[in-house]
Amino acid sequence: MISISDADARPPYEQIREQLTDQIRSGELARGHRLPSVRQLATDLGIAAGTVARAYTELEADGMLESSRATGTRVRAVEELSPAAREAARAYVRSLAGNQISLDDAIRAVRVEWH
Amino acid sequence: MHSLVLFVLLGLPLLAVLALVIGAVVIGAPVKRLSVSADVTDVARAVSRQVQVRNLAALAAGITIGAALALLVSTYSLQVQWLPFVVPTATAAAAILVFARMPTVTFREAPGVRTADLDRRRPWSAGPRWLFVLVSSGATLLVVSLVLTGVSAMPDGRSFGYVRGNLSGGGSPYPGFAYGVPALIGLAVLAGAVLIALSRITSAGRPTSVSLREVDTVLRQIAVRVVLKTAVSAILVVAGGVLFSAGGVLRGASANLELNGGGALQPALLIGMVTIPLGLGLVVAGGVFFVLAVLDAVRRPIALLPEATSVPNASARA
Repeated sequence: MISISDADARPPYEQIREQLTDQIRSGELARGHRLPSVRQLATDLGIAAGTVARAYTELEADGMLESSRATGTRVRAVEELSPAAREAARAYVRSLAGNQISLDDAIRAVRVEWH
Repeated sequence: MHSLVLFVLLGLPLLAVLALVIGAVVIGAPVKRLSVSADVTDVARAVSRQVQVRNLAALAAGITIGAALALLVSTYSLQVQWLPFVVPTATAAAAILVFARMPTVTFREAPGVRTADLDRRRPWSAGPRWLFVLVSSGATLLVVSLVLTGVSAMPDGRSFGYVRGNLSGGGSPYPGFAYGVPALIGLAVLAGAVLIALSRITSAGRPTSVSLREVDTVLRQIAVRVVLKTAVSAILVVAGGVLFSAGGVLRGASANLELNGGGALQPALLIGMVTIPLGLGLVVAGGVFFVLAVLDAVRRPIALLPEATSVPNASARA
């Protein structure tokens, strides 16, 4: 499942790109998974086909997807996020529950501590 | 044969009207009962109404085309003898294309967050498998029948002949390639129309609300059923017509040989005895599928139940 929000400041192609990246890196979308056609995804999301095409093109450039006329767009084999990192992230998110902190701020806090 | 074909072709629009009446009687019984969340009840109702109006418009157009083509057959079937073997598939193709080209029903949802599945929808993913199998089997039966009657016909492609000792005879119209090639072209046109319709059903956008997604699934299933049952009905009618007319000629040829003291013409007689009832059975089955397609099209697609009391409707066919 993928979603785009009118309230999100990021352009729709960026929302699609980011969510697909997350799902591919987490292994939610397995290697070889066949994604919907550009037209199908654009119609379902109520956006222009070019917007979805741009997201797919950028993900191809990032090595996440591969496209061919015969088989459509498929997920490529990528290095998944480490289980340790995901477990730590899960604990971090749990610890923030009830603190009214937005996702952006939570990520920013990680970035600050990272450096 | 001519009167049978005319009966079938002119009878189909009448059957449709009859089915409409039956549909009107059972109109209170929806195809599926669903519960949707309160915030999208109006949208679901509006879509259900739109679908019913769209289906009725497509049906009216299909019946008009069918009646026009039947009239064409009754006027020109003596000059263009292959016409009856093409009209059922051509009518079904035209009706299916009209159905497919009707405006897409849209779920008017409030702006905000929109979601989509990351699985590719396929033309065959919305409908029941048995109908796809039936369409393929019917088409295969028709092609095999046409090839067999084609290779067993006289070189003119429209009659059957035999020579036994000093006796010779035959009969026509026998569905050789003079009838078979147009019939195969009609089948190809129907296949194209079905693919276009399924592709359009598949590519229509899905709503975001989980409740409306259930409604959307039911509507897609109904649309696929209407398309496939219409196609099956046309294929079965043509296949039945081919087998019936071939069987009639084979049985007649054998009867003539017997009258002339040559004994029964085997295996032509046996084949005729099998294909005549089989052909009639297929034509009747074609009529039944046509009525079922019309009923699917005219019935109320969904009935809304109060939320959280969803009861699967026993009458709903997957």
